[in-house]
Amino acid sequence: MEKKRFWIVLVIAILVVIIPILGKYLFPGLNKYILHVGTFMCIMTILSVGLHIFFGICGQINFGCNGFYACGGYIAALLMINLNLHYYIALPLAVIGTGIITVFVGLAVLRLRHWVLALGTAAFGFAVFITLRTVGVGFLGGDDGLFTSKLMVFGKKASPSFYYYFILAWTFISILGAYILENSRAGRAMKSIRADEIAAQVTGINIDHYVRMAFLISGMYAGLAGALYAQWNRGVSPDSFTPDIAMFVLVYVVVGGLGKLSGAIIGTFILVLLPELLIPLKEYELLIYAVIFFLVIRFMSKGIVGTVQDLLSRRRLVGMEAADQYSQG
Amino acid sequence: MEKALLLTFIGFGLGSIFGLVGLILVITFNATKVINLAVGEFVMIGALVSAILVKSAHLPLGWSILIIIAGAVVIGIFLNWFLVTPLLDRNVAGIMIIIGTYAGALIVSGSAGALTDFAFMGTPPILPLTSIKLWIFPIVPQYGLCILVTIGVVVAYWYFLNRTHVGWAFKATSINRDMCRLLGISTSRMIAMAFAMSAGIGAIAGLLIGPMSSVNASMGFPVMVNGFIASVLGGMGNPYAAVVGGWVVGILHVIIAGYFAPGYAQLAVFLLLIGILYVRPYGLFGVHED
Amino acid sequence: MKLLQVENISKSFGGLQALQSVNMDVEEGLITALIGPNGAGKTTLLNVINGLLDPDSGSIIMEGEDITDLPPHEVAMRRIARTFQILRGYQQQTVVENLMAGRHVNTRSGILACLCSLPLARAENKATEKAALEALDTFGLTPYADVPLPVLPHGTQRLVEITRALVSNPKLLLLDEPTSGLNPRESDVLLKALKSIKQKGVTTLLIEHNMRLVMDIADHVTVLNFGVKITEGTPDEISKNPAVIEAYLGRKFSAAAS
Repeated sequence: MEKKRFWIVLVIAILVVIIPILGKYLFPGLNKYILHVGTFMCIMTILSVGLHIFFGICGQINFGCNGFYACGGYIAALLMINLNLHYYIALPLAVIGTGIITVFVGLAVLRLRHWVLALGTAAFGFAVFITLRTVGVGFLGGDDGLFTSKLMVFGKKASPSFYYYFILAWTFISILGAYILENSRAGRAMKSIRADEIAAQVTGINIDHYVRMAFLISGMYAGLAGALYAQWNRGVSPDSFTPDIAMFVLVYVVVGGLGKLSGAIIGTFILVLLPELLIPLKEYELLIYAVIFFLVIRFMSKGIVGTVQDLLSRRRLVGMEAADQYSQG
Repeated sequence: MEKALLLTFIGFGLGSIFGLVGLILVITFNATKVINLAVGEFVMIGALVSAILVKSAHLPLGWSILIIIAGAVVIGIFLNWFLVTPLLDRNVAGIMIIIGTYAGALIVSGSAGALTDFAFMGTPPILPLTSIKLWIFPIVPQYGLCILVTIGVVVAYWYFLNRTHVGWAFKATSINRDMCRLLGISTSRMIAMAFAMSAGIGAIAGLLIGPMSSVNASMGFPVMVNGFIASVLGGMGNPYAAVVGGWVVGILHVIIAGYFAPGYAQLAVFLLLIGILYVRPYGLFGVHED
Repeated sequence: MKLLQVENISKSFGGLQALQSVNMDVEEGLITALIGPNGAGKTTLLNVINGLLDPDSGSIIMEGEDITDLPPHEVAMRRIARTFQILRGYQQQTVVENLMAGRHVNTRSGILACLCSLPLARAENKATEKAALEALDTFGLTPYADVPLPVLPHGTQRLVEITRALVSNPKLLLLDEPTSGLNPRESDVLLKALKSIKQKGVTTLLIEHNMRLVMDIADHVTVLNFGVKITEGTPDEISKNPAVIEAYLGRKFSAAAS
């Protein structure tokens, strides 16, 4: 990473860690609220980064990430309730469990491409949502969902601060993982698949393998988000995993800038913050998202990060008379 | 046995509506090569406006129908001009346009909801909703009307495509848009025509479905989902297969709801879709073009 | 030594017989040109070699191994690299990223190794970057390292794509009309690049319409017409061959030549 970017990221990381600590003293009344929004933002970021891996890096479409999000949450809750497992054990098991489900779903849908894949994954997301509401109500809790017990940390009940820092740590790990992946051989292979499948194949890339892997990783990210949500929210219910959420995450990624990791993060940050700032308009949340999405793909098709980068680099490239050099031999 | 027959008939009726939605989806897909997720909103407009007109204006049925269809057509053309054509012209990637149309659908239903407060309304049926016996077969007249109207629309569409000059040009545009432009066919007019037809047919579907289910500003999306599944089952691009797909979806819906529980019906449809996509990714009648 | 053997390859698409019992060999270290009028089946043959198409019958033998049924990525792993007639560079990436992508066959760290940033993955990353920068240098592309591909002129993009194929040190390089779409100056640059490739001893199978280039650089020429090999030989031999002249220009000219 270039020097400048490294410092920006460091500053942001420090801010994100410090603000809630200072918050207790700077704005005492609001602190709980800030922690709540911040924690939710972290969970959504994990979802977005997961989608970024499948959509932004590998170029494949997943309209049903709410399904894997729900799997993570429900598996964690079920393990804790029925098997009495401690949360720290249920969490990784939920992620692995979601991964296994991802593999099976992948067998069914990953032979499709483009909008048919979108439809298949959307159907999965819908199917999960409906199943959670209507099937096995005794086991899955139906519309009311399941409730998890409080988490004890060092003898005391876990506080909102604890949840924030715990989930923030996982968010950092997720982002780091995505960053490492992007700049590795596997990441380059996935980017090649996005750019041109035929060219990727003749450069030795096994498309099927990498797409399945990207799907698996993306699904496990969603599972992680779900399992974190399950304990933080002290329960899971179908309303938290509606198909709308799959659409929201997609909007976060696209508005932020498709193909850029920073885009997914910034998009999530802005679009999770926005409804909080416009509280009176909350019932029009969906409508506002729709308008923003439409405006972005109409006028800023590369998203926020993409458009900003384009504007900045235009100054660099305008002076490229060197480009002429080759035409003149 | 009688229950099975009755459910099948109802399924045909409901499926006819899904088939109509699938049909308009295929019409716009063939014209723009983009799946327009906003077509469900035409149905919603048809149903919602008819409910409002019935409640307040007390116009005779014939006039109401004409007004609703005309209104839907206007909205359809407007949507095309405002939402779809700008995206198409700017060469936005296909999947983004599709999501864009979804955003458009949300905008339409959100606006309608804002105007009506997302209230639920009812419409009286055009024909009776009780089952009567035709010979040995139980039928429900309202659903029978759906089936008949759908068949009528399909025949009219076939006639338009194959027996009129404009229809020929329209068909050609869906096969090779650029070539048609070179031949002097105004493709933008063809696209507008596609939207007008879709809106009109969608409004008719809305008028038919109103009495059969609750009417509200958000009803467009579930209808669109089933219509979409219908067209994919049949094979995207084939308008007649979409109608057949609609019948399949409708019958499955009603049978599962009738023999198990309503909650399982939609789930069954999704599982059917995933199953069929696994075996035949291009639909039952679809052909792989690559 | 015969690096690649094409044995009796036939391929039809519906009613069209694109290739009919084509036999040819590619000798190691030489540049073999594959020429013929449009529609002769040249690109189809390349696609069969690559694994992008399955032949109806016949086999492709690479260094003694039958690679006919292998999928494209496996063929690439046998160190066969390919460029296309239409530009297939990665448009969303910069030049150096394109080249680094080309090193895929030379590295083997799997996804888990990459995610956990194991030493193997990190070492390979560094080596990939180094190889890419060296390749940039060889063809004078260093000023464009961080430039996104779509900004560059057609000829430069073509050069980047060929460099991407070369950066993997292939045993066999398949080039499909590399001068297509290039102006004469860009073609000269390409010719220089091909000459340096030849000097390095990379075996090349080249589809070309630019006869000046073919005469200049090819060691061996195979001529296809309507899916059938009509002759082969040195550039000099085939330029005088009546069947070849007839294929390109028609019977009148072939009669005039003989």
